[in-house]
Amino acid sequence: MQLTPLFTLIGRALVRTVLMLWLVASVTFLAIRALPGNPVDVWVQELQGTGLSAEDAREQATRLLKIDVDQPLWTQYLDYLGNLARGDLGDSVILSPGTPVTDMLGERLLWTLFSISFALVIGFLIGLYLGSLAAYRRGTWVDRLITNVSALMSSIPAVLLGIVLTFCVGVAWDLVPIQSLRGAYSPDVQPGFDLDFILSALAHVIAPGIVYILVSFGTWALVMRSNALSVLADDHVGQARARGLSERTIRVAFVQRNARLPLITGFAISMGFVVSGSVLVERIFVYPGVGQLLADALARRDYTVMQGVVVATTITVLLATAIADALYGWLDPRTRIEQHA
Amino acid sequence: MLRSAAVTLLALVTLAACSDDPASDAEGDRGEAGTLELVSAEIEAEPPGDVAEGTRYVVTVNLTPGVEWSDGTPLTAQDFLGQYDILWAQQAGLWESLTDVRATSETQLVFEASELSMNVMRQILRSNQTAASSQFGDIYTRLNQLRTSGADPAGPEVAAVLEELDAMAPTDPVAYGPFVIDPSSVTAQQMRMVKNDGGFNADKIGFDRVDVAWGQTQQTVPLILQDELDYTTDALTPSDVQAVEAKPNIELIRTPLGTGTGLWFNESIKPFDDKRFRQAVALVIDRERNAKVSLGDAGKPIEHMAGFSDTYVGDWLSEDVVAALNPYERDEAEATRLLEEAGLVKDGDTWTYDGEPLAFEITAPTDFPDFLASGKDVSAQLNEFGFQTQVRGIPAANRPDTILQGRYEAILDFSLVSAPEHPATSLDWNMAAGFFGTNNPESEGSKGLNWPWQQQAPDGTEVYIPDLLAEAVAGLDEEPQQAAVETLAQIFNDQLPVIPIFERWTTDPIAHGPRVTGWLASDHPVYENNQANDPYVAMQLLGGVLRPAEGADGSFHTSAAYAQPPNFSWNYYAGNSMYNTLTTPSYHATLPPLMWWSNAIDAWVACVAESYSVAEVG
Repeated sequence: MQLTPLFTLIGRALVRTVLMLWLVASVTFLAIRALPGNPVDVWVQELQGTGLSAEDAREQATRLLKIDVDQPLWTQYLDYLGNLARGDLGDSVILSPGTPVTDMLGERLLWTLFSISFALVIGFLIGLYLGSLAAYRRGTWVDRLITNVSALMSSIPAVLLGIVLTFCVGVAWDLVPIQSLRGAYSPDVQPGFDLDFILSALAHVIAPGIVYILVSFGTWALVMRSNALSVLADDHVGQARARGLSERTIRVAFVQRNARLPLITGFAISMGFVVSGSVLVERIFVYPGVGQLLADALARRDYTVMQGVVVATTITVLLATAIADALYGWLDPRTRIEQHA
Repeated sequence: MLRSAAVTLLALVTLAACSDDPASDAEGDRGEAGTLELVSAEIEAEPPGDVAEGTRYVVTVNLTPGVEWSDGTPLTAQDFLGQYDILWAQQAGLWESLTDVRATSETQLVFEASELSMNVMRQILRSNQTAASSQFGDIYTRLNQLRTSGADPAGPEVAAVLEELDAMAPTDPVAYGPFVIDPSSVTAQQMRMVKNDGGFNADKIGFDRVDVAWGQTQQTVPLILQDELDYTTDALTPSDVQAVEAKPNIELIRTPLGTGTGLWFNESIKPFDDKRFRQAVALVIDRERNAKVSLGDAGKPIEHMAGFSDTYVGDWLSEDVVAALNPYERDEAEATRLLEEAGLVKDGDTWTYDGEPLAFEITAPTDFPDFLASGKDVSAQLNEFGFQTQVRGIPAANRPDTILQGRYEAILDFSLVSAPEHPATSLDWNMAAGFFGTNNPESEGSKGLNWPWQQQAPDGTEVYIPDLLAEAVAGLDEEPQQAAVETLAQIFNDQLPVIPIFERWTTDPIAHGPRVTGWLASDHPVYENNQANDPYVAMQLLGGVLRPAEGADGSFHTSAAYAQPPNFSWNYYAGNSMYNTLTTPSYHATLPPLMWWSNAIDAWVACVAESYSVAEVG
């Protein structure tokens, strides 16, 4: 490949990425401000719930919040874009006034990556395996079992599964203390790079991890089964069999490889969305991830934090998609040939 | 809907699990109840000496001596004076009534006021806790100097000090309550309050610590069911109540909360502006069914339709007035007559107005499940009667704008509010500008509900609603207020600017064991208090009524949806102060008020302050 077309390709990709970011950032900016109820109103309602009269609550909220909700929209927008261009997501206005959103994201991101990414990978691998198995055993009880269970699990909302898991394991069967299902580590353990902390963090990730795995593997299994069935019906698989290749070789080299290709992009995008966490699951398990941060920001109308989470998610999805494109080229030689051509 | 289904399913699972749990039966032992005497803390006033210009009343508050902050410094009147100087600098509305505040000794605070009302007394005695002089003493002193030297609170000098105050970032919490937050214990799921040995009543309280689990109903119900919480104020759904009640060691405290729902009609739209239409709707709605559907036993249908909680009616309305109120018991025939008088026509099964089917939307906040359920049931009932209604859900955060701008045809919202506890609070909410601009008929802009303020009293005289509302809260003497409240109640009952539906009662779970014992019996007068305003559990905890159960670890477990780390500050005065996000009883365990109000004896009772007096000048 010559350098000029390569630079053109990279240039186009960059322009496309920047445009996409601007679009998402702008739509997010407008959508958030279109939400009725500003931070002051929300705070007033909360203060009223603590027994303050309406007037006192309004007075206290106005006094404590340093945000100017009446600033012209254009001024806010230009400030926002200017900061974004410098890589600055701004400072929190409500949750932690003055704290950079990037710091807040950084603090929560590790926990979200820790809890979701492993679970997504495990769920993806289980889905691929079960999908392939169902395809090979098409029409048998194994196929019916995998298909039905996968369809069931993929249709159960994660939040419901989280609640059921908590109640069954913690309350109904009393297998573990509820406290051990809450948070990222036990309250009696101090964060640090030691065995106690690592074991505690691993123990606390099991419950949300199981939920993520259970709700994700079904979709992958169903798609994989469908793709594998399609590949199995292809002529080249029949030809391979006619050539006397072993069933194992056919499955690995012909079926699985071709069937899983279309799933790569989907998986990469879902990995990109890891950043936004799973708002509801993190809420149930009181897990201190980005999802919880987003939920808090939404509830308190912390505009900059909400924007920050959405922009960070967009960036990671774009990155993940780019990585998926690259992986695609590596996994599928045909795309490399097309690019060279 | 999804959550309700999940909780119902889980309640069934849990009920099944609990029913055959022998350990639970053993925990049903309630232990011996503690004692708590409710006594007025008011003492005879001394004749006032020199007072600031314009002063008509002097309120003297005497702190309990010997209380210490958790850093070892003594709690003094100067600490509270500092709080009032900050309120002055922030131009708080309270200072429209105050003329001066002074600390006349280490333990005595003197408030001078141009006017006193229940609201002002509440601000002085109950609402304003404070932060330590050891952390904020410099700010306190400088603001006091500015105030007493006649500085303008809106001036640049005061603003500069407030900027400094806002920027302060103490590294540790300091408290004068019996417990102080251990900063190293604050995680996303739990925080721990440890004993402040010199704190208020610390020697009378048997617990060594208070563990506060992070969460709201969704997170706390499993903890209640696993005996991990001793008390929470989280609102339980009817299915949660079923599951929790199945545990023999859990008792649900059911007291009026002073809040509840009502149906509002935008009176800028015809025929909603016709009182006969609203009266007819009130006669059609089965309030008992609606309350049951929305909150189970925690919803009590409104009986008197007076515009405020039924629990105030006996104290504020004469028997004659009560007898004259229309209770709007269900009566479809009378409703039909009123609607026909108002110009509506029944065409087959459908009511029509101006030849068109009477169709309207009922807006309801989706994140208040009881409100949404109430709205859906009202809609169903009205549709059964021949209207064409549908429910539109909005996030609760949208309520202020929706109400202020009158962006609704009908809306399911509060008809009862209770802070401060006075009938005028709800009446103001229902009839006047309220807080969100509830009703602004004379506004050039949005008129909100648009119910007229010029009304006729039952005796035929013309009255102006805002004036009557001001009369209803003026001064501390309830007798002249009562006349205004009676007139307002009768106007409300006739006009129904808002149609009240039900009042919410608490379903607060208290756990008799495994950790806590001594709970006051449910007929104790302390439970006449409003949970949100003067919480009965905080009073029991701080009064030393509650004690650790035998063999327990000395901890008290409660919950609060406090600010998640690191999104908080230990600066008591900061917008993101941790203290702003605590609820009762954790907030009061670390920062108790000067006094509590007791509904049972209609008086202020001692807490951090041991007594108070009110003197009239001249």
